[in-house]
Amino acid sequence: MTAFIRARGVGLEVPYYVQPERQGGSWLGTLLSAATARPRRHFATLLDEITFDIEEGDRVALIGSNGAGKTTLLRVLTGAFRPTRGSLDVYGSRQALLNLSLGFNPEGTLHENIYLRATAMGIPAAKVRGLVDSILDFSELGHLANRRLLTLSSGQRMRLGFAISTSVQHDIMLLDEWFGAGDISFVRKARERLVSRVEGSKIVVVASHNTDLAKKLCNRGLVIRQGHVAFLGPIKDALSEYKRISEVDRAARRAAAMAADGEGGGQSSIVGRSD
Amino acid sequence: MDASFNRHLVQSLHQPEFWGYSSWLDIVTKYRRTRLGLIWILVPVAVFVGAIGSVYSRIMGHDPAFYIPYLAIGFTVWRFMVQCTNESASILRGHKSFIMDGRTRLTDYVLRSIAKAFFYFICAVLVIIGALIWSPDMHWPRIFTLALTFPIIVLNMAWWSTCVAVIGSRHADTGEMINTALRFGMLLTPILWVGDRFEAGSAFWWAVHINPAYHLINFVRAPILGQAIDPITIAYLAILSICGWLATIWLYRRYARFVPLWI
Repeated sequence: MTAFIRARGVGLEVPYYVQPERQGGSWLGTLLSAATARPRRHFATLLDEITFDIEEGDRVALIGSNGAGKTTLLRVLTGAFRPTRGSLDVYGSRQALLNLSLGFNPEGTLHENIYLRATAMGIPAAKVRGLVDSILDFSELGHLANRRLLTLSSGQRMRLGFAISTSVQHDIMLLDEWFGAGDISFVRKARERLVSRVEGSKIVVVASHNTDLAKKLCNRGLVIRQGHVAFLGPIKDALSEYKRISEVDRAARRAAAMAADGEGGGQSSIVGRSD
Repeated sequence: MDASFNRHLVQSLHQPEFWGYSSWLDIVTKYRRTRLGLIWILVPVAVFVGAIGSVYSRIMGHDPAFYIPYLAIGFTVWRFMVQCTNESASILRGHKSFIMDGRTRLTDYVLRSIAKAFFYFICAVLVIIGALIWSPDMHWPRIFTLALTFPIIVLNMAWWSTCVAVIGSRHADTGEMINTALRFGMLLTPILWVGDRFEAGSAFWWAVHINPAYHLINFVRAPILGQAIDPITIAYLAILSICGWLATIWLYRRYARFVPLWI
């Protein structure tokens, strides 16, 4: 069956809570208000009118500045967040590589944690048995298989998480940012496997700031700006569009800062590059 | 499509690997560092039933041959329900990373908390059997009535725990509130004391009979002790199961999709 992702006017509105701010007062007052103030509920529109088609064979880079909605869109694609408006159809088995070192049981051994995470991914227990060795092998942690997970360093945990999450080929891969932990040789190995998984997947969506990686892995780019689709097209065009948009935004911010400074004599609060 | 409680529950039951394995792992790792290991699951129940049973049977003026098995059954069933409830209140927050990865079938996590409590219960059944064998008034084979009565408890815990889990993911107060309620609940429910001594229709009688925990415990306890189940209890549980289940279907359809946002 062909895999595809189709979004029509997808919007996501979420409640969030703000602690009311109190000006001045003594330190005791600050402490008391921190303990007694009720958080207030607001609504924020994180995604709005998102419409796109991703077909089989597409490798899409999600491009946008911090807070533009890349991770939120990925979470919608994984199925964690249900859109409040519009419709989203996803066909194909999905695997998200969003948080690699979470979801372990720190008291369990590596061996047990492989079972835990793999069954959480929906892999039948009988199949997991066949995967354990290759996972331990790939993460180069075979000699620690019966140690408790909490004795591992965070880099080792990430390696294990990566090895488990990429142990099975899925139709659709959803990735958040390129990760940099682990030593050089492992990063190279992980990159190779990732590229091969990307090649094996029918659809890949990756949120990235790394333009080199985006150019290398992807054929299309989806530029997100303040929760809207600003551009969707070939990766090169998307990157140049993103560059243009960030320059426009930067200019707008600079202008706003100048206006706020009055005569513009004060020091500018905007630093040249923001991302 | 909206999330359906029944459909999710059936799917979860068909794929028990994750919740079965992770609840088992939780129990095993908890006791791994101890010297006595899994025996620690039995010790608190055995001590409670033995010590409190022999003291309170005097205070309350009951024959220990009746009172100790009575206490053992009441306490283990109560403990099962408390564990399901307490665990569920924070279970979804505790599995945030799984849910955010798109595993939004919440019944998996609820079943995990029930499975864990169920395992503790199975171990505690050994204490009940011990008490029944010890008591000259009891016949221990009556323990097998559990096979008929306990599924009703599990059924009710399934909807109840789901409600607690969904509400608990929205309001952090849920856990605290339930903790408070359960602490009094143990004393207000006929576990340490025998409930059928009040005159029908009196205020105390109502206080006992309005309590769902009383009926749930009584439903399991009476057949093991060789008593008939009160028809009121059967009617009460039938209504409770159906209404609770329907309410949960509605709650799940309406609110389950908000859970990832709340946590």
